[in-house]
Amino acid sequence: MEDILFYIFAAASVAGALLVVTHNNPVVSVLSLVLTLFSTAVLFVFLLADFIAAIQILVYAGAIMVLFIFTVMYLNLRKEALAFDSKSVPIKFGILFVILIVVAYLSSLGFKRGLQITGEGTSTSTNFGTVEGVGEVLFTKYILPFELTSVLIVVAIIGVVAIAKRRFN
Amino acid sequence: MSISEILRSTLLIGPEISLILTGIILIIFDPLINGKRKNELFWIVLIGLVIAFLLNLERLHTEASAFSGALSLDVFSGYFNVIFIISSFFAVILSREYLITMNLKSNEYYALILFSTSGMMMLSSAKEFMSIFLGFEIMSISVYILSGFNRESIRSTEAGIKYLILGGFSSAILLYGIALIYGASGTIFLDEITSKFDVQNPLYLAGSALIITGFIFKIGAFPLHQWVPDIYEGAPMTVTGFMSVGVKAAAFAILLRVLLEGVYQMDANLIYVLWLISAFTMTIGNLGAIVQKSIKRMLAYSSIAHAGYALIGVVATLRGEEIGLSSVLYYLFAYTFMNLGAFGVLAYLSRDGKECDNYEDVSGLWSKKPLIAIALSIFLFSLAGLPPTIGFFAKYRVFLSAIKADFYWLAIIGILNSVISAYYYLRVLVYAYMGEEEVKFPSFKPASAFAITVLTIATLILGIFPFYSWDFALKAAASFLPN
Repeated sequence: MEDILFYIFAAASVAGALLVVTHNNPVVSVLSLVLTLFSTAVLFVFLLADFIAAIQILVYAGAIMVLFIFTVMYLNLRKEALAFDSKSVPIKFGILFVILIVVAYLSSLGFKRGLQITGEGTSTSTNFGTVEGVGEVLFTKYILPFELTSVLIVVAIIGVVAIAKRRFN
Repeated sequence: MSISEILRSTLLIGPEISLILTGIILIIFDPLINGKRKNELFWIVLIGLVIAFLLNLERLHTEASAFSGALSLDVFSGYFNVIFIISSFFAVILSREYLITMNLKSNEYYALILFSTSGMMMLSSAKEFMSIFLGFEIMSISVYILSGFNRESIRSTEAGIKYLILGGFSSAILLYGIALIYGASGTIFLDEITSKFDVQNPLYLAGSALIITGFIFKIGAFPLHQWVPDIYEGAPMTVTGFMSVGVKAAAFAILLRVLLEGVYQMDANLIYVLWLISAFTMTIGNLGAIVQKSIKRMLAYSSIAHAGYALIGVVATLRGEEIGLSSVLYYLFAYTFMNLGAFGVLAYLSRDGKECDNYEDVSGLWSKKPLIAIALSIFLFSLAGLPPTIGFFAKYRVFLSAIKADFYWLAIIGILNSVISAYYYLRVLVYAYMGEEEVKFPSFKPASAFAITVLTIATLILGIFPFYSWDFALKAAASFLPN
């Protein structure tokens, strides 16, 4: 049962991601992104990471996607503005998709084998996936990546301002 | 990890923090200052970089571990930080007048250079994949933005978008590799991965291969080199100079770290794969450079070729030749001076919003600006590897390491390639010394002139007396390879 659900949501996530980049209509692209993020959140639940799953839905699938949809609608992009040679795109993406699935399948075989060899998965403590559990490692063991993320966000914000700022002469 | 441990670790990463703080100060003060005085924040950037350099000196003779093993603050990282700080210091000085010439906003630009440098410094010391990835992204995203910084130029915008998409793709490959390794080992710390590494397990092999692919992209080596010419040509001149030395050195730093401390058991054939990559990178870079009509594009291809020369040293290191590692380190150090200098001269000669790009644009330089012509010739001699410049000594060491590791063919291919490269470097000088077209050159630019002078002197002096800096590279390599 869990396996079947996993494959359904994994497929939905990949399909959504493909639609984001291939569809001509930006509103559909944004909505497909919601599908991807939501399916990924479900995968987090399978990994017992309940808190991350909830955050994923609240922040990404919820708040940020609303901003995306507002922006896309505000820009009022027409289809022609985005038209590109869409005939060859499905073939190229199809080839890429098949390669990725083969790699993913091979690595999943390796993953199972790796587990058999070492006989262990990632150890889980009692508060794994809860707010306390995530907060504890985030502010102790992984404090450096946590702080680096904030630097990365600052860089992204500066970049947006630097590129989007209009010059007033 | 206790609070005192976190505080101790934070004090240890002073150089990184000082750059990040300087960047934030710039962004805060930029709107508060009006008009032409905005450009004077330039001095704060220099002060920040000098402080980072001084704090980094501590790292050159101590060894420490911070954030429960996420960072290894050893001489190796200190050595690379010196390269990064030098490259961003001179890139900033060269940019001062270039930004005015091209009518670009200065403070966001400087802040992004500082953030990018701090990302590189994270990469040189990181031993944990999440920090590695974040350092990689901080460095890369800043440079994507800088490449597209000149919004009024179509080429620059195109370069920015291209770099963003292709770089994003390579980051995804890197992340996929990290995920596979994490799936196999259950940890993201390089030390633990090394002890758990299992050659029988395909996950480790696939993961390591994908990670190396991600780094090879950033180095700009064959077969992932096609992005280099377009993006180096489109980006603003000083940004191209900065990323051709800084980003490349950072990618080498992390490649060496992951190869030698993380996944060295990967596969005995890896060395031959890198052998082929190195040989093809040199050859394709050089053949591509010959046919170019633009100096900037020629230098982009030449930077591909130089990545190939440096990879020779990586191959020799994998064979267990310790001199290989120090020769890569020295090569990247030498390349910083000469390549930044060459781009600096082109930035100097840009005027009225137009870059000095084609061979004709330097025509008759010798008769009008003899000193700049001399500086340009020294940089190009050094890139071609002619004595008595730093480039000669660096190439000599790299080829010597290949010979010591019994890779005679690689050394021969490298030497042949350097002979080919002399043709296109000297072709620039033919135009500069013998060209007769009427070209207008810009008036004197004090800051850029200062930077070019220092870089010229360094290229010459370090070439004539290489032993002090070579010892420094040896020391960094020895700290990295304890055996």
